[in-house]
Amino acid sequence: MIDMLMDPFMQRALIVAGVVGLTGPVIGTYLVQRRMSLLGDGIGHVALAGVAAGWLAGSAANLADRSAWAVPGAIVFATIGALTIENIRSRGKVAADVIMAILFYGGIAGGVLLMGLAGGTGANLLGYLFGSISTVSSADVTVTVALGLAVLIVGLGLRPALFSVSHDNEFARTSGIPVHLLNVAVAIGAALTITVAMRVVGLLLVSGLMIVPVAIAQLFAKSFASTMNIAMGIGALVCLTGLSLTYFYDMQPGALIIVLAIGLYAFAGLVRTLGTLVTR
Amino acid sequence: MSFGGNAVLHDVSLTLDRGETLAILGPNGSGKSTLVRAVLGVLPSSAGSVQLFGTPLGRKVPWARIGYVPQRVSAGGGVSASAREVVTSGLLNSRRIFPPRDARARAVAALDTMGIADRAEDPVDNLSGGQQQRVLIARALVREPDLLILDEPVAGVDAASQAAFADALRVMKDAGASVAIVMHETGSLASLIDRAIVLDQGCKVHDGEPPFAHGAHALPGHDHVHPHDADGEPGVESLPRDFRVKS
Repeated sequence: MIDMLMDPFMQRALIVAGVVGLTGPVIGTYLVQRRMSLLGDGIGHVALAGVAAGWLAGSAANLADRSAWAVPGAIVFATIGALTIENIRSRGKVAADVIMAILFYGGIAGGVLLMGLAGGTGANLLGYLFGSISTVSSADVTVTVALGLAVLIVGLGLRPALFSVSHDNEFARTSGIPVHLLNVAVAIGAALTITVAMRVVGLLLVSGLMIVPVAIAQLFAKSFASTMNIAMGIGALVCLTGLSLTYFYDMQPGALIIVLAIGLYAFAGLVRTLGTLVTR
Repeated sequence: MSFGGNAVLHDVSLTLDRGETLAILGPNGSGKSTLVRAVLGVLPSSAGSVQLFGTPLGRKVPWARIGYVPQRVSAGGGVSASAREVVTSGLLNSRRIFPPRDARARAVAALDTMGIADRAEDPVDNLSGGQQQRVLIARALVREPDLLILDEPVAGVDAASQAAFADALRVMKDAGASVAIVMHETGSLASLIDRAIVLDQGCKVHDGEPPFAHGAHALPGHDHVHPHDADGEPGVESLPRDFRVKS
């Protein structure tokens, strides 16, 4: 245990995992409230195209590290994707889900093709799809902490206003609250969270980290604020526990974190069901 | 205030005076909800104008002075929210996106006005329909509005909730607030209504004394001379053209 905490690789990985564990459920709570739990998954697909575009640009610019622009590429693509979805959603278009499907699968297919063109390997691709926390550098830690803090400040600081907009959009509009601006803030927050979490759990599992802790918290919480707070605690717990276990056992951290979260959900659901049976 | 309406609504014009309590009556599909939603800018107006407290509809309207109670269907999301949290959202407006320091006390006080302060920390989903409606009314009352607009506040609501609402409305009236209530019938609130308009197929077919004074004749479904010529397809709702609230 002490060895693990002294290991500089693990120190960096634990910091990143902790930040991601806290951040994911904040945005996740707003997504669940809007009944858009799968949005994170879709934006993750789009972000893959951004990663690959970053690689391609890096190769073209003859960068020593071709992956250097992968994260900026993911941020740009994920943000554009999230804003596009927000735009479609706010207009309430009938074909919105079909347009989103095209965007999502276009993202992942385009990502795979671009990655091939950029000279990336299947292993590179898997690192982004399922996480590659063992390769976190000091620069990654700085970027993760900065972006994570930004999302936490907006997501927690504006919680009453973001709650109002997500809970009853029509009422929020008649209150004069800047609804559009706040919706854009959630969309950008989702894009940044996904980019940050890509390192830990990967783009295909990122939505799980945003949503499953919220699902667990919902079993017990009585208010929106407590749902978010409990979900943040659970997110950090499963991320740190999952990562620590991989120090001792040879397992894939991203997948382990999500499986732990789902196991906790099943356990919590069982406890709650038994609790209601006993009180009857 | 004054309305002048057109397409789901045809030439519906009216002015609501300060301190007046107006009932907006009519059958389903007559355009009542459309009227109030267009007045509040939730629905876009194809023609006409709306003025609230002398300000054209838009960002400059003093939204903090207006309390809106939508039909209950719009409440709720995928995550539980406590009654207090829902009411607290009524304290936010264009100039305030953070709740004030005394938000908690004010939210509980508004819930107390509606007789459900003891449920403040309960998830709204666990409350009965009538109690949920009272939470939405408390959310509008918490900002101490000068104009209260309610869409079917007592439809399908239990007697206790109706009584709580009538009491709150009386307090609002005494404080000099203007009130517009969309409803099917004046019912238990009849004594509080100063004036009523009746809509039928988007036309204003009555404006004046509340129809309870005249029996059911003023309500649509009875032969009635329409004071307005319909300028569109009957039943195709149009949007209000003109709505004014005097400050």
